[in-house]
Amino acid sequence: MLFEIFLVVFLGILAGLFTGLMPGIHINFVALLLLTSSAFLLQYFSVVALVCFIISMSISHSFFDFIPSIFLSAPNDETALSILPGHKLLMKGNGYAAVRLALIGCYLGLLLLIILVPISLISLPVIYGPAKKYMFFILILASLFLILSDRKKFLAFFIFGLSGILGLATLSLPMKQPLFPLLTGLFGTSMLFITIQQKVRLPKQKISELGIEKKETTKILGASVIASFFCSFLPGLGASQAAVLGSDMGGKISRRGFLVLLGSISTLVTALNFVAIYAISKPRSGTAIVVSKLLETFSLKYLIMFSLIMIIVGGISFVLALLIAKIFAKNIEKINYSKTSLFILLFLILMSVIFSGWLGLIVLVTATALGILCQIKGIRKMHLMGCIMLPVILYYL
Amino acid sequence: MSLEKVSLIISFVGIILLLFLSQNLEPKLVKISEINDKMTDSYVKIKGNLTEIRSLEGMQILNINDGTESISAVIYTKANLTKGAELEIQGKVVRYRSSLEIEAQKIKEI
Repeated sequence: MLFEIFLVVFLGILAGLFTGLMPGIHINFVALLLLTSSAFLLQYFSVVALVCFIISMSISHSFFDFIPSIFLSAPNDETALSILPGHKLLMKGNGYAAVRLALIGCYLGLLLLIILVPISLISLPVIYGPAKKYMFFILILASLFLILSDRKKFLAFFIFGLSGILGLATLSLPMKQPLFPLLTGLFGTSMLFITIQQKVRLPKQKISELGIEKKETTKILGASVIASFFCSFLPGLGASQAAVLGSDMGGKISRRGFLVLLGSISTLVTALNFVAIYAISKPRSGTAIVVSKLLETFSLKYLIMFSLIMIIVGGISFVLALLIAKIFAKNIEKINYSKTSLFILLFLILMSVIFSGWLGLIVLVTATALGILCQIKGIRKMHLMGCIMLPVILYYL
Repeated sequence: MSLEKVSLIISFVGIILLLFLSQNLEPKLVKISEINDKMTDSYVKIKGNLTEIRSLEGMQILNINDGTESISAVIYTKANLTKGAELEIQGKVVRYRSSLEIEAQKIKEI
């Protein structure tokens, strides 16, 4: 049994590496594949082993995901906000340092799990029931707070509203994987399009280490704990918005600090999604849903085992991701950045058509146009998450 | 024409088109016996007789039989339905534990 667990954890790290580095491949897709082939896989592996694989893959994915997000401007929804601060550092030759900051955040987030698991176990069952009754108001308040915190409030509201309507229309279509072309268009292909149009050339990348002040670290850790806790049970609120809420709550945070915060929240939320299955029997992510369907009883013994696995996987992923980031940094200037961006753009268009058909292509084009508009008008990209927030708010109406 | 104007026009036209399609596009009508694992995550339309209703917290599970086979359809709102009613259901095919079921999005009494 122990050997089986070691094997699946190792395979999970490799799977997370692949899904993290490949733009467009989401772990939810891999987890769904596992669920549909579970009858076959259970002939060779135990249910617990399959669950350990999914958890390892999810955690390692959250680390490796920052590499294409920062170096290639090809994020997923969770790392979308890393693009702008990460890109700015990349254009100054500090891409490796940007990834390192995000990875430090990821690992710090996992260590915060030691505090957050007992807090979540005690408080989530108490808070969740009453919070559900007022979910509509909580989500409206959170959205308004985010819009009003922007300098260009009217434009932020306009972008939030438009993306919300786009999200409502997309999620009502009889289409597979609607979130893929939607989020890829809003956050990925829009950025790639601008990169190609501006014929961006990457400067030589340094293998440098940028730090943040101790005072800021404390602010970031505090903001991570609060933001991640709420994100673990509030629907529609992703790591990106939680990071902005957290940074607004914690006071002014530097660009570097924001990368650490985003890394921390991204991994912590991934981990807490599994804790929520035990605490309130509510899986909050695609992979958590698959875990809850595979594992009929989620006991405390499993929770402790999975938490330990997450921390170990995090440590290994941190070291591996730094190594891969160094390779990227040393070689990326040799690559024609515009051509690479074009290749990734075409790849993402192809993936959208494969996953979601011709409807997915229409969604992708529309979402890309909206993402470009948001970028040109200088509005924070997190308002594009209205595509998820508005449908969720209306669900609770 | 500037990129800003082009992206604004495409955004508006795209959203209007998608809103239109979301109201008018319907999935293919299939027999329940034809629903298999390959159709997981796809949208389908079925027509059949409501043979059983079970109410759970926050959802209702409907058992539908179209003469070829039966399937469960899950709805997350309270619907006023009576056993024996002829229903048309549109939704997504999902796997729950060892069986396939439909996460219903639209239900119409025929």
